[in-house]
Amino acid sequence: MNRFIKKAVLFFAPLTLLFASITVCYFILDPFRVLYTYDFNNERPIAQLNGDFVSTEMFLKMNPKYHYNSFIFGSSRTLAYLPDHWKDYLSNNYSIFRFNAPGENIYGIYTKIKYLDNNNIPIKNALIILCRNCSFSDKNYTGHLLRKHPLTSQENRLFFQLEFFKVFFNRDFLMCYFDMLINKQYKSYMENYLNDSRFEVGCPDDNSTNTMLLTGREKMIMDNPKKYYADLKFPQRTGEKNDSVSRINEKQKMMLYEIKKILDKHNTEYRVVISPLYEQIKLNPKDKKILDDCFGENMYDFSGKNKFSEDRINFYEWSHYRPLVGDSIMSEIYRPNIDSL
Amino acid sequence: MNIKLLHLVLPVGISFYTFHTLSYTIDVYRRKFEPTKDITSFFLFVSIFPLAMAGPIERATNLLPQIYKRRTFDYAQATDGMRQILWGLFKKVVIADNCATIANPIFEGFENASAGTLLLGAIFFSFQIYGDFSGYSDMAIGIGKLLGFRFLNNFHFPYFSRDIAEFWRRWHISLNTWFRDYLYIPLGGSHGTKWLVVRNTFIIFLVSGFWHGANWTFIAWGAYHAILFLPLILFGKNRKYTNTAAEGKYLPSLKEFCQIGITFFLVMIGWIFFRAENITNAFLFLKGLIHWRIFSAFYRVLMYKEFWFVVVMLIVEWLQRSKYHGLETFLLRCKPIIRYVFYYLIILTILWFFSNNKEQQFIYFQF
Repeated sequence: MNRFIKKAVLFFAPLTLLFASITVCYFILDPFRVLYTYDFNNERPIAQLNGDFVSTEMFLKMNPKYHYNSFIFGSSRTLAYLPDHWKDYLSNNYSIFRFNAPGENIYGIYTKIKYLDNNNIPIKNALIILCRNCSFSDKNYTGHLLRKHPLTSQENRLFFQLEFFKVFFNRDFLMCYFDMLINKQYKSYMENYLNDSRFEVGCPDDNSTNTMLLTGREKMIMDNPKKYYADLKFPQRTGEKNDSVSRINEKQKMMLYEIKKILDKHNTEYRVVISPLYEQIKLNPKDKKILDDCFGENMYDFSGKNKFSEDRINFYEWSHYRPLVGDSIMSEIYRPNIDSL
Repeated sequence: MNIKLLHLVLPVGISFYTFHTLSYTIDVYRRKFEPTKDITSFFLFVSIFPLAMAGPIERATNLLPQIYKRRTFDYAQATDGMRQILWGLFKKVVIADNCATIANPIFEGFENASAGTLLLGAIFFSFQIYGDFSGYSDMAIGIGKLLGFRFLNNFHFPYFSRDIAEFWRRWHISLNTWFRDYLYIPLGGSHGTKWLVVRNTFIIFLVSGFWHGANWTFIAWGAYHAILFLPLILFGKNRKYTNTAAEGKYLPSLKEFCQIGITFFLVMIGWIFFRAENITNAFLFLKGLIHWRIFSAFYRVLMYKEFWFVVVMLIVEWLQRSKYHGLETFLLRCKPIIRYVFYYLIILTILWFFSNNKEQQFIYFQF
């Protein structure tokens, strides 16, 4: 047996060396920024980071200094709701944090609010942004990109870290990553694996509120909107008026009522907004009823065809609307105008 | 009970360890085997881990004596086991998983596919199922060898069969011999009247089909093979080819080549039933094959890198067709460096495909 073991060790030595080298690279480079603490404000990572992880880490880092009590929850579409503009609708003694995550769902919002409540963090104000096409799910995501921070999801930290470690060994990702690292040149074959350095990479521009400002995009639109939108592809609207599928199941309903319970406990001044999306598909009536029953007059549905979802100039691209839309929505929900829609 | 629910409720491997325990019970009843008094050995026999997922289906008469015996490390057996594991991994990761990426979309969208495309789907599925099943068996048997066990052989290069009877002596051997010993022979086997033989043959193939899954397509697949097998057994030609094709020669004769080709084609048609979602789809798929454009598959297949991996596999297995598995003695007479380079090529090919999970998403949104 000793001879067999010796031969096996020698035979697999090159492979072991390769595996060990990649592992060492992972721990040194930390491509997904999950191993160590970072100032995400100054990060321009090659690989796209887990947005939920970034948000939560930012919160943990900044909360001792800023003592947040006002939160914006939702997906990346919360970038349209600038904390600097939201503050105009809040009473004094606010400290705002955009506690978002890419593709945020009800599960993510629920676990975040629960985390805040369990840790005695006051929730004085809350703005919850839900989207017809991504919010209505009651599970944590699989994969490394959208998975929730283990602090809020209560997932085993080791399993969370292993997911990133495993993903690093993806052959195509490794090739793209090291090519970019060495040559510092973005190539078209990398588009499914790495951030395109020409575009904003999704790290916050303002650490204190976790705000992402697409100033580059805003400037391009203001300078030459015709050219900007000429280069963009917007999908064909399907003509579907109402979402034919009811998406809120019993578990999500439970989570929504738990969210309300916690917000009521904190005497939170809150609003729940259904995003106006370019697709112009209205929220399913059953889902709307559930949300209305739960949140009452604090629920505002901007889904479907309306002045916000009609014009392309309200959008950066087919998925994300601009802060000018967020500003208009906030002025309506905080100072309602009956004739607005 | 909803048949679909059965798929959720049934634990993994139930069909394998059920047959293990059945074989033990029947052999004890027939006094072919002494009942064991060692419960640990019995549970080990029933649930030994390499066999849990996909067999081979072991017999108490083969495995329990090995469990009782004190095993000592056998260098030759262990290295052979490593080679068999490697070959099994190659068939599973490189052959089966890659053929699946071609076959699956074709079977899912068969209504709009041309005859040539449908034929490609059928060919690649034939190698997918072989790579998958025999790959798992090779890995299980190889692990067994590392642990000092000699499990039953399960696949013996079935696509080099010259007729259907030979195919069934080489495909899923452990299951087919199980059915032969515990169902076919007790029913009377090949003895008795011709009608009895027809009945017994159909029972075996239909039960075998049903064993694979609770869907009429598997029954149809079994019935199809029964129809192909029947003439051979009725005319006593079912044991015509018991040796290896082109024995002692490098290449088959033209006759053997045609026999192998026709047998593969007949088996491939059967796989269409096996893979289809339902009987209607299977017949529609077959109907779609009947078109002169079917011949376009023969040159289109050359454009798939997966095809060339299949060719490599077939060459290696052809050269080893008289052996136990594809790498048993392959290059053993060459210098170690040549052998190790070949093994490393296989390992790197496996890693190349294994480490490329196309379902992993790396970019959520690129602004």
